[in-house]
Amino acid sequence: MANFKNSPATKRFIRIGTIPTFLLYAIFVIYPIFNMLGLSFVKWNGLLGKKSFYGFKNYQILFQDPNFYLAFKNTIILIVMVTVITFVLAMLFASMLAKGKMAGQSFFRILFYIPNILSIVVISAIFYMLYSADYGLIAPILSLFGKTYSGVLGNPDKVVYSVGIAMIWQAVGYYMVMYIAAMDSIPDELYESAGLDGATKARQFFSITLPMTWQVVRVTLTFFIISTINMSFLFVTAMTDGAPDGASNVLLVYMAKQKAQGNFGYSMTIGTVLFIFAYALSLIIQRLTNKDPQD
Amino acid sequence: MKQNKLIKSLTQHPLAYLLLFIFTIIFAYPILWAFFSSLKTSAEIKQSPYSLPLVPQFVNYKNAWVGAHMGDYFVNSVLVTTLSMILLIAMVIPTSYVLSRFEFKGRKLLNIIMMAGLFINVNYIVYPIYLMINDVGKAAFGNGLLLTDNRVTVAIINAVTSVPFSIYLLSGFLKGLPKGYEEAAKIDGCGNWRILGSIIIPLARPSILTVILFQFLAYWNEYLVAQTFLITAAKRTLPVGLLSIMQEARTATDYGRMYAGLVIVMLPVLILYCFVQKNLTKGISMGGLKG
Repeated sequence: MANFKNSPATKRFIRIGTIPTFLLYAIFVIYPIFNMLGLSFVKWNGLLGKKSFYGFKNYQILFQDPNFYLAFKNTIILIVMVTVITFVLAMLFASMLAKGKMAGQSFFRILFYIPNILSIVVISAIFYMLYSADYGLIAPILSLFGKTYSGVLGNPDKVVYSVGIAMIWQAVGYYMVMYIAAMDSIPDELYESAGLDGATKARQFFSITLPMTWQVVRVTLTFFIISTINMSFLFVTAMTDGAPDGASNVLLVYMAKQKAQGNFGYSMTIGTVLFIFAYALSLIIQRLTNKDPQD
Repeated sequence: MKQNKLIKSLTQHPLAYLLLFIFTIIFAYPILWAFFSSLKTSAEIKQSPYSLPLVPQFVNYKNAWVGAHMGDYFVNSVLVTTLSMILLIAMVIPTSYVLSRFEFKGRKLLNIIMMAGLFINVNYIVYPIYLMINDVGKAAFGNGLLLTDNRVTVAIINAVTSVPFSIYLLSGFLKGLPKGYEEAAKIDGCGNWRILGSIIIPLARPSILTVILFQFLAYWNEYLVAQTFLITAAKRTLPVGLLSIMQEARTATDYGRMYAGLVIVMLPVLILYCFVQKNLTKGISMGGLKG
């Protein structure tokens, strides 16, 4: 065992620097996450009700619950939609704005980032109104083309995608800034020699930009998964609260609803399954992207 | 000179600029639209969503600030945000200093435990936390609400759940500092607190500022914890208040007031952003890339 020669004063300093923070962290983060796991094996209805051990029964119910699958499907739709479109747009803007090639690049960078600093409630309110058939921005445009618009948030086939668009609007700037930073650190010589060899811009992107930013892209893929799961909860709660009739439920919303209905144990089961799913998906993505895209 | 550069740039990349201008409208217009709408009458909002307000309706702001209590919620938001920030900084500066610059038994384990927290979002645990605090309140005071319906509790939860990310950001920076200063100060007989206060904190100021900026935005915009815990209407924070105006607006169709409330929530953040946008965007590349 390593022997660290710290003076008594330093030892005390280390204790003061770690114990209070870790104690609070254990109480407010670690204990609750294990509590979630534990409660998922319990049948428990309401704060006053009695808890009784339920084994894997909650999990059995979960895997036969069509509403769970609907919320799961919506979560996956949003993860895929938000990740793919945000990634493409952020990469596109970043490759235009990186390295100061274009005049006015800082104006666009500053402006595109703004949605990211706003509260999700603010963005949800704006998009709720923007989508509205009576008050929104879409109906007047469509009526120019002689089409009628009856709103998207009340339409079970369109509501999830409409929430997705608001989420993309919010996220693009953040990832764009990350990709700009990664692209700025690529040496200019690589592009110069590729240019001399006659490589097109598109070719340069796939043979230089993408491989050189690959480590950052991998990190952001994990961010995409985790933040889409979390953000979708806040967006859906503020914009539709699952309406119409649960069609826009995502898993965390469904979890909150089950809790509100008094099915505490069951709601924790949903949380546990989602937590494991998010973690596993991140690990799988990290494994799959471990290779350089050029290999 | 500068204009020439812009024109040259424009002619070189016409398609790129076209695309950027389209997205400038997509990103900026909804926000501007909310500003304009906050100054319109309800009839104007319904009749012509694209028009400018005929006569600015500042009464919407009065209705939101006083009528919908957004003024009170503003004070609550300032209180909760400030307290969350003080608690966070008090925890995070010493802890990330110790974890990144000292050798001691168990350090690796503590680092791993802290980084695992990056995966645990408050969305999952907000209800288990509620149950725990409710139980403690009942056991200690016979009344769970005493602790749950409490702005201090919300601030503590905000602060503690943002500890892992803040330590991750700060430790990354502190690890890169040269050891020379601390060693010289130690030889001069400076204690650890002195070194932290007069050497480490001044050196780490840019990254401490980044943490503060990020967490200010997070705390100011937060609504899930506040909504779950604060049952008394008078204790609400701004985003929770906005959410309830939104719900009322659906039935009462007082959308002018809702837009005004929305502007009240986002204006402080936009003003701050004008001053600090460089620190913020630098912080992202700093924190995000070192993963």
